[in-house]
Amino acid sequence: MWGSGMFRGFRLTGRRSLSKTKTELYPYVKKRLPPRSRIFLAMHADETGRPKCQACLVCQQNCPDHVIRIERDPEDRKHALNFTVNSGRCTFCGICVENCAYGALYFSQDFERAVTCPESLIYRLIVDGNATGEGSMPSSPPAMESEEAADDEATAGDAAGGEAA
Amino acid sequence: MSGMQLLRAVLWLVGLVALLGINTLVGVYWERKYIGHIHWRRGPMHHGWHGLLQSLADMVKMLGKEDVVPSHADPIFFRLAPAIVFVPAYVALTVIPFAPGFALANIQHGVFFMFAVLTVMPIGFTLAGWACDNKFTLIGSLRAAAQLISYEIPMLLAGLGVVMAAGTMNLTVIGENQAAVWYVVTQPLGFVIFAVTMVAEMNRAPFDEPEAESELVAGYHTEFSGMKFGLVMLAEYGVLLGGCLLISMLFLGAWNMPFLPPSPIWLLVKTFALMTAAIWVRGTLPRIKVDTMMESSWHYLIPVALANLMIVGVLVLAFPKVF
Repeated sequence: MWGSGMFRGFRLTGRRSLSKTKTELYPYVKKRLPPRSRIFLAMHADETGRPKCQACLVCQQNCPDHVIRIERDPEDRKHALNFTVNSGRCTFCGICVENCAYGALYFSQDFERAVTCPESLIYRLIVDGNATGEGSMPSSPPAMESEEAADDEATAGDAAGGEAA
Repeated sequence: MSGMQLLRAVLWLVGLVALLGINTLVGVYWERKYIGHIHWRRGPMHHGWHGLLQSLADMVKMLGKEDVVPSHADPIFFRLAPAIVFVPAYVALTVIPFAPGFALANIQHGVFFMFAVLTVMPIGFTLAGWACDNKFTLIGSLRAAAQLISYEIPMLLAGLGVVMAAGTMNLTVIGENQAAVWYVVTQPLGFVIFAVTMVAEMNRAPFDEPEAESELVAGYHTEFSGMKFGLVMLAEYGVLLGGCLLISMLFLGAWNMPFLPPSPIWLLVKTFALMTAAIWVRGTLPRIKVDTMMESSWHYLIPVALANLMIVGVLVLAFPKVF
């Protein structure tokens, strides 16, 4: 029929104007992500505020992308001095979280971490033996800036872990 | 004229200016909101609850903006044109009765006056386009002149059907005649023609060639900034209001409502519903081509409007009680 397309259009727009809008009010209203979303690695702390990590190095050794680097406390080998995450390399495979025997690691739901340089994607979950909550971004990039240095240190960590085992 | 009459006239004029201003503020907000919802967007959200103060913020911005005058613009007509566009939109409202006896001027030829006043608008558009010394404004103004003149003819012919049925051009009498049966029931074809041509008269989509933003920047008002643009906006929404009021007056029973007592509120409700429908049309139909626009008027609407006029004339003569 002549004009039927027009009426179909009116019906469509009329129905749409009554249905729910799709636009997110993103910066003003944060979206609730599905509970199993994998965003950034974070660390649980116990009741005293100490990080749950026991520096077993399982996560570091199993990480296929060398994202995690743990520096053990030489005096207390069950205690990590520094726990550094290079999230720029992370593929969010979740092997570290799955393998953590102490349930210390988890994926946080905080996705607002846009940065201006790749070095800023490196953050610490433990600094000098103290937990930093969900691993807030350091104000300045940590010492491990270049990828080569990170590789070297990760290898060194592997070696240390191997020795420890 | 006595002092009381003068005071009454001044109060009416101030009230109509306020109505025009409020109509523009609400109309702009409602248009942005409704079009947004048609697109599954939210429309204005940030100023006030659900963006209610957005139009007010826009108005303040418009008042504070620099009034730029192009260097080669005609010094007199560039300043005069927005006023010539605005004044007819305002004057057309003065003869609208909101209830029996509740009008600024209850003149005998109200319909004729409204059509005559609205005919002045193309002069303003043409002057605006010419005075700016800009090819976009010139093309837009020529399109506006062609469109408004083309669509006035079927509009007048469709309106004439109501005038014939009512036997008068007095808007109050036309409103009172629809207490039992609205003219949209007896003249549905006339209503459709009148509504379509009114959309064209308002320069609204799908007939917004004069200000086609994807082709002509903003058409005849490209060069206007600050309050000159504000006046053009006031005029656009004033014509929208006047046109919807006129459709409600002529075809939709004016202040009458079935099973309910007559009230000016019904007139305003119908007008608002028609304005929403105009926005709905804008959100649905794409802009038609200029040649199609002209063709649809001269080849289709005018013959159909003439036929409608003849049919209505015969029916009015044959069944004077019903029509």
